[in-house]
Amino acid sequence: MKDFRVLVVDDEDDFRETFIKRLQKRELNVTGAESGEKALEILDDFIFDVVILDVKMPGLDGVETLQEMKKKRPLMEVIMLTGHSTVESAIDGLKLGAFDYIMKPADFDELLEKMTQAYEKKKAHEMKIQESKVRALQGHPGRVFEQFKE
Amino acid sequence: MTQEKELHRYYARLRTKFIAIIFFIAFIPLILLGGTTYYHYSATVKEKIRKELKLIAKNRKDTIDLFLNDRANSLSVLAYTHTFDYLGKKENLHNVFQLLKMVDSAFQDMGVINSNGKQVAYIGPYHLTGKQYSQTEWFKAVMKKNVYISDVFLGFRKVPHFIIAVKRIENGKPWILRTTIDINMINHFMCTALLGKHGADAYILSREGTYQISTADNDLILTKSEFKMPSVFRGIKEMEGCHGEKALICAIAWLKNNDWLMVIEQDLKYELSPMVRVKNTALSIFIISSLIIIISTILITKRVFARLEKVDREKSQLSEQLVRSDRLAAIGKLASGIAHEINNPLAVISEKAGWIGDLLTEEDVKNSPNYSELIKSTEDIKKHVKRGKKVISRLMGFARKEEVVYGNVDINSVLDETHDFLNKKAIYQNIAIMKEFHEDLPSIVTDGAQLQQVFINIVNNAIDAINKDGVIRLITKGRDGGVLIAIADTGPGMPEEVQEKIFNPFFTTKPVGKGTGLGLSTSYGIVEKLGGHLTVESEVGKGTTFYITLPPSCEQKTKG
Repeated sequence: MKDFRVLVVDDEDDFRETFIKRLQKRELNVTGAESGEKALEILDDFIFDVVILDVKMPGLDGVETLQEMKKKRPLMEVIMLTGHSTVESAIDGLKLGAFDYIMKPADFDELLEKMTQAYEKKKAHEMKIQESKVRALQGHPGRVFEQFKE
Repeated sequence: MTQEKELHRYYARLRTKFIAIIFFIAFIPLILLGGTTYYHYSATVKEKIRKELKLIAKNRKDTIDLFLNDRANSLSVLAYTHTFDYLGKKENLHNVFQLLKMVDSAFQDMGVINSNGKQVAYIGPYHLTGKQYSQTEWFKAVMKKNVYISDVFLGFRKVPHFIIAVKRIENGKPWILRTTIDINMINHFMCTALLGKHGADAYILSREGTYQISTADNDLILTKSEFKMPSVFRGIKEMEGCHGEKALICAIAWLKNNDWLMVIEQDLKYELSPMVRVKNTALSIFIISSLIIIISTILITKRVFARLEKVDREKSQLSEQLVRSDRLAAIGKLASGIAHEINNPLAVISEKAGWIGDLLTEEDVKNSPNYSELIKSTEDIKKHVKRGKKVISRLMGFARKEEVVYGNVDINSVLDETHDFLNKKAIYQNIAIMKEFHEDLPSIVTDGAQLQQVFINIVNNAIDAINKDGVIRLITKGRDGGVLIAIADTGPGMPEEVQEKIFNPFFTTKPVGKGTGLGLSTSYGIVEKLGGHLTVESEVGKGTTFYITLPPSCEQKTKG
């Protein structure tokens, strides 16, 4: 169940790398990105369940990156990482569809817990969509072809 | 506080100067006015006295000169209308004298003296018939002058008198008709002139300065006067002088062909008695107005300066407050910057420690003899990162502009909650928290939750300050539509140096690790943000009181 795909976006290399290592040790499929632009690039080629997104970054900041991400992958859950001075941005992020925010320096276990919740939410969300599609297919078997068109 | 004392001293000095200047300005015209008025008035009065004296002197001079001339003329007429032989007979002389006396009582006696100076006939109260006058002054004088009026002298009768003598040459032989004039007549003339005048004196002196007539004292007659004889002049002269301690004005005139000097004196003391009254009145007016000036000046300047000083003090307090809130804002900005910069390294440290902790679960490391030490160290690192995080979090709480949530707040009930919240802790330390609430406190528009934070902060500090056994009073009062809250403790109080710093961030008197030094600065920031003021009053050994004033509504202020 824990085996979900995570993208960590943070400009602080030491933090990002250590964080990735720790997650990997917990057998998660983790990828890192040092900027918002890089993260969006990676998103073009890979699929992730949960994104850990730093609010304060050079270039595209957390909120802007979030907006772009939600356009590309509406179902992907995003957890904002924030410092004290950027709590307002994190709250903006929540309004834009982020799952939650967590204050830096984050407690690792707390963050892991949040990620699990986010993943579960996403899974539940997908299940619902799946179910509705199945129901639709049961009603109109012909639509099965439409599925492949997507 | 020392600054305040200096201010006070400055104002005291200024006030003294001010009062001195006002006195100077107020008294100079007063003194000038009083002085000149008095001077002119006394000059006028003196002038009047002088004129009066002059008039009297003129009058008397004319009268006496006329009197003497008349007598001399009468005598001349007698001498020239009668012969020596006729008048030399006593009965004839008696008849003529009686006739004369009927018209003129000034004549005291009458005598006829032949060319040898022998008095051949005499009518009068004395027995002077046959007396020899050839050696007397007057005899010699009349032989030369034809008509002679003598000075006052004693003569044979040993009574002060003066005579008028007329010489007639009959058939080549001279003879003299002589009469004595009553000096009281002249005295009388002088006396009537001085009638009703106090301190006035009149006398006649001879050319040598001996008294001829004196209205004041007949014994003075023929004694030498101290009067400094002036040279001969025409008409009347007046002069001011002193006689012993008496200030005098006198008018003088020469009489009797410049033989006699008439002096009419006026002692100014009597004539100037209205002046004394004026002087007294003026003096009392002066004293009363001086008192009014002094009292009103002192009172007014005192009030004005008290007001000025108060305004100045308030101004300096205000600027102090401004400086303080500026400083707090600057420190806040700095703090939030620092907090952010420290957050990231802290996050890295935390992750690294976590990673080490993760690695320590590996089998090969578990066998290391230092395994437990490593575990403890990573745990300690995590613990202290958490502590740092906490400090930053509080620091941010101070720096962050938390949004104000407005609502109608009943301060009493907020304080009630504060009381309930902290009462247990207080009771444990044997501290009584007393509520002294104003019952009809107006509810005000403000942020109750943030105020609660302020109250808890201050009461908590009070509990910590008292430590054990004491009282904390929560007092509320209405003020200008808003609310005044006083939180007073019976703790040890604070010296001035501490009072000045308690609102500074990171200033704490608590032991290391116990307080962050942000509680009061945060509280200060909140109260200011709500449009109120937080001030402190403290005295070492007595306790500390925090005052919080809140406006009826804080909205306008924070919006602006």
